[in-house]
Amino acid sequence: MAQHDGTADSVDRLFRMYGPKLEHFVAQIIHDSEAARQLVQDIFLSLHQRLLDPSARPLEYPQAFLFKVAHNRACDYLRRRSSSPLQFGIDEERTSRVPDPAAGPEESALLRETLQSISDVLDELPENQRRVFVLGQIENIPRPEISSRLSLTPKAVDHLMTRALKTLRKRLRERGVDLNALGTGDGERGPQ
Amino acid sequence: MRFGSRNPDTVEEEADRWALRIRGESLTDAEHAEFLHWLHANALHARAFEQRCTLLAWVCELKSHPEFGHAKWRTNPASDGSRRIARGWLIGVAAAASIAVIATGIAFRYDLSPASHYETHVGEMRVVRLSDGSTATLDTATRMEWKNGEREREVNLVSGQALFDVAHDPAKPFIVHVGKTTIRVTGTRFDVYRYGADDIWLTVVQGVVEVSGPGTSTEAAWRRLIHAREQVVYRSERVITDVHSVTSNRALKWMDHELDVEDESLGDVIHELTRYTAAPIILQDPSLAQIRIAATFDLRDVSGALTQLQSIARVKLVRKGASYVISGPSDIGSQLSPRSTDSQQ
Repeated sequence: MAQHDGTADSVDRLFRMYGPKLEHFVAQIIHDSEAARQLVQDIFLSLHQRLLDPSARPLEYPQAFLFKVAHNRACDYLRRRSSSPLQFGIDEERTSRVPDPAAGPEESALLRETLQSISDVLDELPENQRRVFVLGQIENIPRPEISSRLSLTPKAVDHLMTRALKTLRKRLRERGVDLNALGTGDGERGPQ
Repeated sequence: MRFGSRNPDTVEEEADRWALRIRGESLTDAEHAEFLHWLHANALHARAFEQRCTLLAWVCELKSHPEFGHAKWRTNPASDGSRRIARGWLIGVAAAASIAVIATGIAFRYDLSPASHYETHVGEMRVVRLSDGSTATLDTATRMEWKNGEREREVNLVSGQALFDVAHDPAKPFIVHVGKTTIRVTGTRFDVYRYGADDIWLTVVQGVVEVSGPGTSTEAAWRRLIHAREQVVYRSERVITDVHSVTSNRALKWMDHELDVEDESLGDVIHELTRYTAAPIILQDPSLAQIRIAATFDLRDVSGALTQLQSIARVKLVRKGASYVISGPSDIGSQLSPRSTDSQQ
């Protein structure tokens, strides 16, 4: 029972921290806020059931995990609604199952390394790209505010943001970080 | 590859742009249509988009990570030596953090505790998962009791408002007691609102609901059957507004933290807003209550809603101690005709 409560608590905490953000993310992809709310609820419900399993390890990278699952569920939803279900390149089994959120030790080390690489690469970004990117993507500051804070036009903010993402991708690839293989410790990889 | 004729560079850049836009401001219908068109156009697009989403999710992970949360890139002052910008950035972080705290206070709570009493504070909204698999979404200042009995599932709505999504179970009816009245269903979606001490508003979203006044189930004082997209207003002794259809899901706007008012009196609007704030809202002149209002308010920001009312209803708002006091503007107060609709839409 103690474990049950602990699990509910931690799921509750995660929901409060990331629920609204995930809902926005899913709603943006599927353009239906009511369905997005349901999808996100479902994600947390399955997460709760998953964590009740006594062999489950704690969720090490909750945000990356949740967004990954949210992306998959959102695309799954679009695919089911779409009249042309062809083009997603995501196989049925992968999106419909709930991945194991607990990473094995080996996997965990790899993910930590990835995080280190992202942190390093961010640090090396040209100053103006880094500022815009960190404000927008890490601190979640809306674009108009970034633009007034850094005295840049909204267009310049967009431009620097896109440039930053491109640079980030390029540098990560140079360091041998394979974005296609970037999992979340859940074995939920793209098809090879 | 077989589909698009685009060169790989363009695809990569388009994917960057879409992934950033999806994480940014809300897309319009047209923009979303454009996004879907792009996403469906080529399997490579979907793959590239997924890749970006994954990367950006990992980027977000940095902030809360114990090890990287304080990494250099966060506080690194501008290398061009611009202290002004460096400071603005730190202040911004502090502001963002405090906003986040406020926001989580009123965000949905996800609750799986086995307790049978549920309560929300003023301004709180919470989703409760009941032990039979049904869910109840409780709006502000709501009290509810739950019992999963042998033969019946029972809720007692003591105060406030709740939307029920009832898990289908024909063998075990789901019953909601509100005062002396009873709502009985097997599996459906409906909203119950206890308005003041007596009035109860019942809106059915899906399925069929039976509602009855005091008395045994065969000899109730009154009884109604409500279908999807219908609403009824009643008290324990009688029906006030009989079953009528509702065109929109307006009764459920509270789920989006919205109060959508088409043509209602200022008095009713204040009554609604009062549910979402602990601060009393006082109408200095009772005749002001008659002013008609059409507007949409954000229930998470009652003070903002009242400020909005200032221009919509042409009233004056003053904060006195813990209360809000609304008065007619002294210069035109005498001309203020109670029925005039001065909504500025």
